[in-house]
Amino acid sequence: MKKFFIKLSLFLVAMVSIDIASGAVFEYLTSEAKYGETYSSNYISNLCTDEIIILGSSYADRDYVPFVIQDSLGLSCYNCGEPGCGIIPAYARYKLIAERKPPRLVIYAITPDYDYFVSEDYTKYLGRIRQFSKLMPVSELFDSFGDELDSIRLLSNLYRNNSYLIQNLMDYFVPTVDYRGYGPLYGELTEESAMRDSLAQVRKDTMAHDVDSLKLSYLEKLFAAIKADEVNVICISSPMFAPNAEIDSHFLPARKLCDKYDIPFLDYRNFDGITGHRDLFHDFGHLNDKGANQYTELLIPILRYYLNSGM
Amino acid sequence: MLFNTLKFFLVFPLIFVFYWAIPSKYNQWRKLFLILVSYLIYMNWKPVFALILLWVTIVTFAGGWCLAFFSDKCKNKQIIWLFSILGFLPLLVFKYYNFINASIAIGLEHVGVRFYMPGLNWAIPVGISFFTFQAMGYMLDVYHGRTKIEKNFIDYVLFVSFFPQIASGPISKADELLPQIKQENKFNYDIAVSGLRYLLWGMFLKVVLADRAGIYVDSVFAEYEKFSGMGCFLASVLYSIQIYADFAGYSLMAIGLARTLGFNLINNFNRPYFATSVTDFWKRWHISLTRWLTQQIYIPLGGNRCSKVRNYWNIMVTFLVSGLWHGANWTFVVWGGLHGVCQIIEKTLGWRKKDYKGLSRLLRSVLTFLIVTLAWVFFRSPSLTDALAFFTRFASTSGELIAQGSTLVYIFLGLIPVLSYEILCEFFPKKYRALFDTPYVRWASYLAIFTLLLLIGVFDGSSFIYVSF
Repeated sequence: MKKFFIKLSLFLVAMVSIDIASGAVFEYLTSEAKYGETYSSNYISNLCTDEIIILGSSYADRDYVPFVIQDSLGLSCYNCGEPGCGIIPAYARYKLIAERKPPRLVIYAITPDYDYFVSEDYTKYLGRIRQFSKLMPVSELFDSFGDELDSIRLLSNLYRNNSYLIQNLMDYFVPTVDYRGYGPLYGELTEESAMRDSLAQVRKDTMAHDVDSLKLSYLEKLFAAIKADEVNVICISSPMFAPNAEIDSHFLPARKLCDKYDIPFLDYRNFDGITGHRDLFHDFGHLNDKGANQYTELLIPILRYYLNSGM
Repeated sequence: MLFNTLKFFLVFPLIFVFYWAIPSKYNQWRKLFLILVSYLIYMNWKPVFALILLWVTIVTFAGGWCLAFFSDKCKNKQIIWLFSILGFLPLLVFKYYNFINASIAIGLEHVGVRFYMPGLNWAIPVGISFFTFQAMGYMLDVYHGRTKIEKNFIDYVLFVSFFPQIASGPISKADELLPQIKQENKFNYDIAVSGLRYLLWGMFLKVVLADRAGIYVDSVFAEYEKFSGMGCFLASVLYSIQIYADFAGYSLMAIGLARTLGFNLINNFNRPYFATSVTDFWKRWHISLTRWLTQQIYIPLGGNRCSKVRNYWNIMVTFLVSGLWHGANWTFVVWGGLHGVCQIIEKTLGWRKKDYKGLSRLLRSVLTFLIVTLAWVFFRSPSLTDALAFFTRFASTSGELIAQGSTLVYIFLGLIPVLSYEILCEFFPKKYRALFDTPYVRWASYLAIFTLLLLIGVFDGSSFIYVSF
């Protein structure tokens, strides 16, 4: 039995050593990343002081082009949207950026499913920000949304960097274009996929949606923090190919919060010149690169108005 | 409580220490401790499930006693029928009631009769198929004179509820596990270390390979109309990998945990995808279930000691039961039936009797893998319609080929050590043993596997596929 415990202890010591070494390697890979998602996440978490930031899910990431905003308004802009996620990374990202220098304008692309509706579990959202769990706003999210054993798991560098190996290596070695956080989609919505996506969307829309009070509380915390920092903010529901008016009620929780914090809520699901144009959409809910550029250009006067109105 | 969770790995060392802290001469206390732990772990799923477990335990224990009490053959037949019905009753109600109800209703509708019984909305007790078969196996073995009646109720309770195997097997035989339970086990370093090795490897298969493949497979099966024929075929192959890694991973973890406590459970898998025929596949896949079905269904029906036609019938019945055991859905019945048909064809063509080598062996293994993979589509699909629709996509050239590139890369990374190990064990066992006799190689492998596990494993505590059976 003694031999068993000694060997087991030696194994654990060896693993701890590997863990510490891997932490240093991943620290280097993330901080020195030059391209891709790793660079973008590191930039947002540790470097971003841009004047305009876009937050939200894939509706933020795919639909808003920072270069168009920069060129038109003469202000630096970064897209901090994260596909498949909503308020959980968005809250942490805003707090990290505002700690350094609050932006002048926040554009929040609202997605009810990720921002305040109940979803299967929080692990997929937390997984996207796990690499930065040592930073305070991120660890706060793990305390709220994670389970009681997360504090033990996150002690391990290997666990913290779980599933980031390929991405980090690629983003260190493989050059890609820097779109300032924007994730362009290419290809157009075909008639066949429009039909298929339409049925899928109807099925999804008619499902029961319960509000997750914890997520909603963080959306409120985000709005309160933005207002406390005296930052201009607008909340937008992004263009859809064929919006369903019957789900207007899905946006009620967001509208109520916007009313409470005097934040403009812009319902652009049905946007003139964009909605209904198959050549501008990649799928039912996301614009392709052509559509995103066109939409962002059409948005400029509205952004200029809210920047100048100083609300 | 699932084995692939941090919670379990924080609790298990305490179980290990307390168990071995009890001196071996107080074996009765060790057994009581294991029973307490087994029931607490089982009740962690849902407390009321423990009543079902207890029911099956008491019924089969009493059944064994009654069989031993009456030596009259006629009375024994009545007893075995009575206690079999009582023993299988929870399984039939919880797992098959809705399926039988729906099937009868649909059948009657076809002949113009509308008759509906209310459905049941009860959760299926975890591992009910496994522990029912294990307990019923004991009782049937007593009936057939293959094992002696167990007189110690405590020993028997532990036999049925032993926590490493209760959720997803392996299905142990009474004369394998009961003697070990009665033995005063002394701590054995080599067995304990081999237990940890099994645990590590099982965990690797589960969280690195099975769960990662599952992410990819789920994304394709959920929207298969979007994918090309090759894309759907790739997903089918990955499902073969997923289900093997999931089930074998669990079995290895169960065996590993049992070994650390000094118990030897049957090895449930023997590199099934290297099988050279479907018959060979079933000698390597879910070995404990194959053994149970052979002894309790196939042989009592007559096995192969009868006419050819009768033998084929026996094979079909056995595999239809196997299909049904896996799930209450016609997809599982079709899956089982396909395996039965393949074995009948192999028997008719005399394919099973030869020893294949070289290219012939490779081709037969590839063909067997393809057949098994295609059959798994029925296993994976929620309905026969979905399965057939999935198959029709194989002919399509339009659509996406790959769902998630990065997931595929991680699966490939996970496959490298698994394939290397399995090829070594299957084709170069002496080289494997020589390699792993070197401490440096062993330690480097353990550290590499554990590092990869933490680095690329999927840690959302997902269920094992077979836990739902």
